[in-house]
Amino acid sequence: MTENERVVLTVPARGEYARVVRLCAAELASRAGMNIDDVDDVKLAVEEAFVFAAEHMTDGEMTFTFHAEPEGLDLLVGPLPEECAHDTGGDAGERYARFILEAVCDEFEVFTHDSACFLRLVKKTV
Amino acid sequence: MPTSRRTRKTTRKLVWDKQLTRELFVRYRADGDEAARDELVEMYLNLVKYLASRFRNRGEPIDDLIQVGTIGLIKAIDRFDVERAVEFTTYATPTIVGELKRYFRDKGWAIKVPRRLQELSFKVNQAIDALTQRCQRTPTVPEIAAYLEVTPDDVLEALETSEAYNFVSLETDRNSDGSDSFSILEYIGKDDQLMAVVDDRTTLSAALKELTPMEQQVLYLRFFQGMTQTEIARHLGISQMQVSRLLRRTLRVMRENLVPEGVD
Repeated sequence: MTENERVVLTVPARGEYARVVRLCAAELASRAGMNIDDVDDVKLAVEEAFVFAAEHMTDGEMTFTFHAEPEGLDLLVGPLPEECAHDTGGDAGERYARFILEAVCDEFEVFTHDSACFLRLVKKTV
Repeated sequence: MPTSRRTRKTTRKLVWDKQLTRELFVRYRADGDEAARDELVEMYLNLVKYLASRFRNRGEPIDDLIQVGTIGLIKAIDRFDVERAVEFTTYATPTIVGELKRYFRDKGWAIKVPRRLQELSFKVNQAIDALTQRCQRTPTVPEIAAYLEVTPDDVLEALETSEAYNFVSLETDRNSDGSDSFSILEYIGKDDQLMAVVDDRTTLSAALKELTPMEQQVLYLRFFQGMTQTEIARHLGISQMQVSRLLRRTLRVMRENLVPEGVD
């Protein structure tokens, strides 16, 4: 994957598909030139993002869009239900997911666009 | 001719005597009354049965699940602080569910990993150490692949499944004598980010107690000291793959204990 190319993965919003997304993310992180520490961080981040999104979805599908950036890997998760964006203090699971995501990513944001919520994660190549 | 049969469904609510629970805990804690402990186990066995039944469609005999859940219940009884303003069921549920989930996870791993991957994981582990020494930095996946003359996909697959087995037993790090045990709780302050994740210290404490001292230390070094996995590995004298495996297990256990409603 070179700059401006993207990989889009849509999976059922069920836990057993987290591994599929994690493996794909690991492959793309490696292609982005990350060392194994950062590849592992990307895997952790994707898993937490999956859990974060799954908290708000009982069924349906989740879409993960990976972009190669000059400085690393950019991941967009969504569209998700709009209520994901409201950081109401949430439950422990959601707060915990945010804690991990903020720790393992260089950038992490939750935003709304066209009445849907998106998660954006950036991991930079050292 | 079909016979009509009336089935009566009764909805049983799970109710426990709070006063009796408290008295039993006081007897067990203050006087070391083992009979009180047994009575508590007996009393909350229906909570175990209820939680175990949530996992009944996963191909394991319900009796085995109840047995596993009972181990969780006993752990919860031994760790519960009666002075906290938390109901025992609130405290015990995540511990029991955590025990059941771990049972499925461990069972799954033991079956799934092919021998080829076990051997490759072992080699990848050695290659990471060798390359980290040689390059004085953390290696990339293609570098490991080139070193072992395998494809990057093979390396990624080996890294993904590495947590399924122990290269070196970490049981010795459980510090049974407690002489140099590590407790992350000592390092977590009132305003800490991790503390902010949960509403009360009891919940966090219960979740952390599910972790071995080594796992607590890995969690602390990664998320509070900001060390990389390779740095942690060097610091603790274990491999990067072990750190990776410990970290993932740690995060999973924490999540399971903090989110008891995620039973299914």
